[in-house]
Amino acid sequence: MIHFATALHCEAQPLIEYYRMKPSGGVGRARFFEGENARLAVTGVGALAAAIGVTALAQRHTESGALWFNVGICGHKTLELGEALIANRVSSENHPERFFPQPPVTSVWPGCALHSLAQPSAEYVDGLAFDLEAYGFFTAALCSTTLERVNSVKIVSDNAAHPAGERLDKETVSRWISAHVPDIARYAEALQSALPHSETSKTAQAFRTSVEATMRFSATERQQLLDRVRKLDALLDSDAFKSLNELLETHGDAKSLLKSLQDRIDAESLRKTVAGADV
Amino acid sequence: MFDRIYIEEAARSHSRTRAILDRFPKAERIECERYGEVFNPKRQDFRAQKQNPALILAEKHGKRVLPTPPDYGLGGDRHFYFSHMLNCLYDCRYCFLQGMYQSANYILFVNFEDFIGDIEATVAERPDDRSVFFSGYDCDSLAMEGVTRFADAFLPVFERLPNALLELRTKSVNVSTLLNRNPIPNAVVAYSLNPEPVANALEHQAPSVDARLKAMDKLVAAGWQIGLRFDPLIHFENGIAVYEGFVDHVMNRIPAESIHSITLGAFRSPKNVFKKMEALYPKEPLFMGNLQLDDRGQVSYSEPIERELIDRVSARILEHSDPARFFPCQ
Repeated sequence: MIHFATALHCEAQPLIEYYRMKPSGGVGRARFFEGENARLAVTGVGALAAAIGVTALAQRHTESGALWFNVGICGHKTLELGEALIANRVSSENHPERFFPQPPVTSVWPGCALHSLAQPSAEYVDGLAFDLEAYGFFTAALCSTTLERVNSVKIVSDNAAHPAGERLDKETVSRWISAHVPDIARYAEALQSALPHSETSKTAQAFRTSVEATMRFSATERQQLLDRVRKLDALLDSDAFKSLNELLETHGDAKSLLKSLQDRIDAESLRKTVAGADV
Repeated sequence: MFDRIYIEEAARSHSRTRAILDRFPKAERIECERYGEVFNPKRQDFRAQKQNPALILAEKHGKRVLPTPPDYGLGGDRHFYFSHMLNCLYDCRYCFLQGMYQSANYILFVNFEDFIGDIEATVAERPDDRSVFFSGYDCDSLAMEGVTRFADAFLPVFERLPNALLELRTKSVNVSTLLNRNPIPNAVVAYSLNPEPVANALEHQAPSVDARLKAMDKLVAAGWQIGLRFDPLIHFENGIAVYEGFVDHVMNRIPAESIHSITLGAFRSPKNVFKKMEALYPKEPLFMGNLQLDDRGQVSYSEPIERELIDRVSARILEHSDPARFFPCQ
């Protein structure tokens, strides 16, 4: 799943169309959109609005592993209007901490340090891009994920030759963003393939549910059960895992079942340590 | 080799920094004030970063040469370690580095001259003592030699310090720096070794065992002293017999007179490091069974398993080696 955040609807529109998202409500000023593979928050302008919108989206959808993209416009001294960049350092004029995104794959855009301001400015600095939202976006997104999954892709909307303050129409912004959406989609796919993710199989989840319905577990034992089922899920194929259900007939209490599960883990890990390492 | 290089402000004008940047003109250069800004933040995924680590060029301040833990020695009077790098090119699943740092990026401390000054001062404190310096604790000593020129810089220093011994701990076959110069008697090239099935399963991105043995052959022929590090021993089905055969294979191949020292130890890890490794690789069988938390706060194999592994492999080593060269980890 990809989570996008944009400040303006005109920045969001090309993404909404590409990922076939539909409106899905809102919180405060933030408006949400949702499709099969992506969700999006139009947060409003500024770091605080970005942080609020991202936090609200993250709270609605708590699954781990989602990618986060802040897509929007920025200023840069020398890059041409409509060119894209990806933030490799995100700073703010109001906070000392800086963020250094850690993408596991390379993108097609040049990396650039991005500085979030409170107000638009026409004062440009060599090698630095300026925006209003990225710092708030990173601050909020990093509450629910890691630096490898958080990205800020910015399209240059003003530069020294065309400084901030010149009139900018929504159609132009949408057109600029639209030109980069296929690259954003390709980059997101590459990231999704590269990033590790693991989930418990349905067979294992069903086993745990039926065990918990059959026996009483203390809080500690419940944690041990979760841990042992996760391990056996990794060690056993689906048929072998299903055979664990027989243990429910031969074990009447949690302690003896947990011991049997651990014995099976010891035996299987001994066999598979050298044969089935987790790359 | 690197898509991104972070440059700490203090290291920006260092000649070694400039030389490395010249070697990687296409790498994206990102400036930071302190390396900790990039390396230490909590919200990082070591496993994801390991796929494409960046290089951080920084200066090491504070204590650079540290005493080793008490059980970690090679028969010297004093034992120290120092880390010119943090993190390793290889991705060995049993390695504590996975659970040690937030980041998988490589830090290279470019101020070698300060490390060298500290080593010289440490030796000068007690010049008659035999002082051993381990260089491969937080990294592989030779794996990135082409970038760091670490051995190239430090071997001449130890040549001037005959009472000090330098251990280069490695799995690398990148030994040209050593082969291109005369060997020195107070340096040991110590190879981490596991039988091929273990290496194939757990030592990702490391050279094959056969390639390591061939590199050792070349070093022996050139007159270098070799260390054999059977560490960590891994418990697996029929593992002891495999280890015994492997010890025979290695020790029949490397001439006894070229073997400086042999160490071994079973897989173990501090509890907090183990927890992080397990969370990174939740499907890794190595972290699943036959382990216990011992009274030293270490996760290790249960006592009978560890004892049998250590005793049987030690016995086989001692069939080939003088006990004076053998240093089993306790």
